[in-house]
Amino acid sequence: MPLADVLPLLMIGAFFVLLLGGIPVAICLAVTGFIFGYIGFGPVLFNLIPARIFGVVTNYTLLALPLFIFMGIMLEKSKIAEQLLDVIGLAMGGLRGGMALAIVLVGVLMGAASGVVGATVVTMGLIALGPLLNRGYNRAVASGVICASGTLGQIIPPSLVLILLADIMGESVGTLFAAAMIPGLLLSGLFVLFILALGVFKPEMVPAFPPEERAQYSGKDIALMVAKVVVPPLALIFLVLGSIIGGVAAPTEAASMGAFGSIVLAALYGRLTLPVLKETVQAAFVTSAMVFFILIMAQPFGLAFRGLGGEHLVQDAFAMVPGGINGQILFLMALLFVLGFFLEWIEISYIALPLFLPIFANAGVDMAWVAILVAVNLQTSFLTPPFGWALFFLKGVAPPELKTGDIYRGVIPFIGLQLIGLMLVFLFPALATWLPNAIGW
Amino acid sequence: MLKIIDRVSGGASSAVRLIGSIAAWSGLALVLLVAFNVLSRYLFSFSSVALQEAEWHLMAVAALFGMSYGLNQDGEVRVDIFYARFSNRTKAALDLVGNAALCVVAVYVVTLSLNYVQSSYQIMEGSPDPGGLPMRYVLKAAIPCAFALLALQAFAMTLRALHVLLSARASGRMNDAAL
Repeated sequence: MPLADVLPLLMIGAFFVLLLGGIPVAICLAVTGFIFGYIGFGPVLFNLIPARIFGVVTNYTLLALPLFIFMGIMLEKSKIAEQLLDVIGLAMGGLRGGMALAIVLVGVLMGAASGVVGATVVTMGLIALGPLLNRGYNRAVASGVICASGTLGQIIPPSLVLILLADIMGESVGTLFAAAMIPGLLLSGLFVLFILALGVFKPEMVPAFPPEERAQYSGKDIALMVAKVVVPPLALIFLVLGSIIGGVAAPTEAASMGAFGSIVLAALYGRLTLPVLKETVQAAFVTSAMVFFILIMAQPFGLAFRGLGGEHLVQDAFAMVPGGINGQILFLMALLFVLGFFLEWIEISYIALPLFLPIFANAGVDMAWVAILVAVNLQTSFLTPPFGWALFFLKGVAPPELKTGDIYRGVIPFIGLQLIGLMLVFLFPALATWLPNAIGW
Repeated sequence: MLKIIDRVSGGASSAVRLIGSIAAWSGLALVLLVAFNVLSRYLFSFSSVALQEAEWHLMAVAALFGMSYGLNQDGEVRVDIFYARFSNRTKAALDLVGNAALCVVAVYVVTLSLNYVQSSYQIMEGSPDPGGLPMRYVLKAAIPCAFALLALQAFAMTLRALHVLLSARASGRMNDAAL
């Protein structure tokens, strides 16, 4: 094999080594991209870098990102999400695993609200990890539940992944949102079943809410709290989601309504103080900035990978797959799963997917279905050690006694559940295609 | 020597911190601006191309200048599976290499983007849409400016790592002398 053919592989290898050494992701991407690109084709192609950076930071679809992040962090800093978690946890009563179930539910709600994995995992990591550990939850289970529930936002609309996939696949955002609804709820259901089963078979891992804490509230108190605490954010979520699926507002516009609505909610609860606003603004800025930092620094990496012919390597491998279209879909799933170990979903969506999609479009496969398969798969990639984003985000806010190993152990069963969900959508395409057809998208 | 390194690195990172903590409010401005545009269009059928373009102008500036501030606030994302177990000296050595590399990359992007801004300036590029914002080269000039700031932040972090390394060595020597 001549050097030029192995350069893309060497580049990925070098990226891995730097990353495992503990160099920040964005720096690894930029450094390997520039060095291997320079070896492969010299400096000429790099003149495209400024235009690509400009393209990233002015992308109208990505504008939804800082807005949704702002919304998520506002809900967190104004303690609305925390209340939500407490009240739902209380409402679960003496059920073992009740708090974990509350996290899944809040994950569904927050996922529906903001659709940003980072924001949801960070929020729940900040507000729920401490209480869970204090009440005797197993560390691995606690972190697994938070990461997995946080990633539900990627499949439950509105999700940024689906917005980007719609753009790439030429489907309408509304179609994909409708198609993702049932698979998203199916996954949440699998999580719930798993936690209930843990409560039965390993009760010491998921203890119930302490009875002395529950005894302070009567049933009427709890009902009142649900009405006061759970209903308003729920209304906000329906507003955001409804306006997108209903086709009233573009996702970015709905995101701004969500962010604005979160400020209004905080004000209504009397929590919109200057310190809260200041903290929200700072935290949202740093979170968005770090996402953009990676997206920006991924540009030289993506450019070099393409320039070096990395995509031919992938295409050639694809052409050799046996088993017709189903074989190719399964291969695509396996490939995305592996790519998900080390590439970020935007990289996968923008670089890898466009190479394969024509094959499926030409074969007459329902693209909404393929999109949901891809989305569930990408969602799993958020969880897969060592490079899953949800894991980074949780580690970033976790107390130091929670080890990276705890997080890795905790997510493994949920990765299994995700794969079961993926298999179900693969075997029963109607799970994805029924709803959009039924409401006439 | 250590003192000078300390002072330079501290000065550079407080400059980044000051710029960033002001730039952070652009996030709130963005929320209010997009919300205003949406509401005014649906409620009063009022829309302005300039205000809509201002949305992503604001995002571009925030995203670009946010890079250095995010690093300044230790917001960077890394795999710490091995890193967490390294000694402080090994960590400092890795930080030194990573940040120095980032500094070089940032300076390289500054040089790349100067041409990009210049060619935009030469044609006096503005918005192609009627009623849009003029002087797009000013927005594009945010790229070299932001990467210069990023280089400054990376430089400060390189010095900080160097400081840790050097002072670890100095204290190691003192221990040897004590023995």
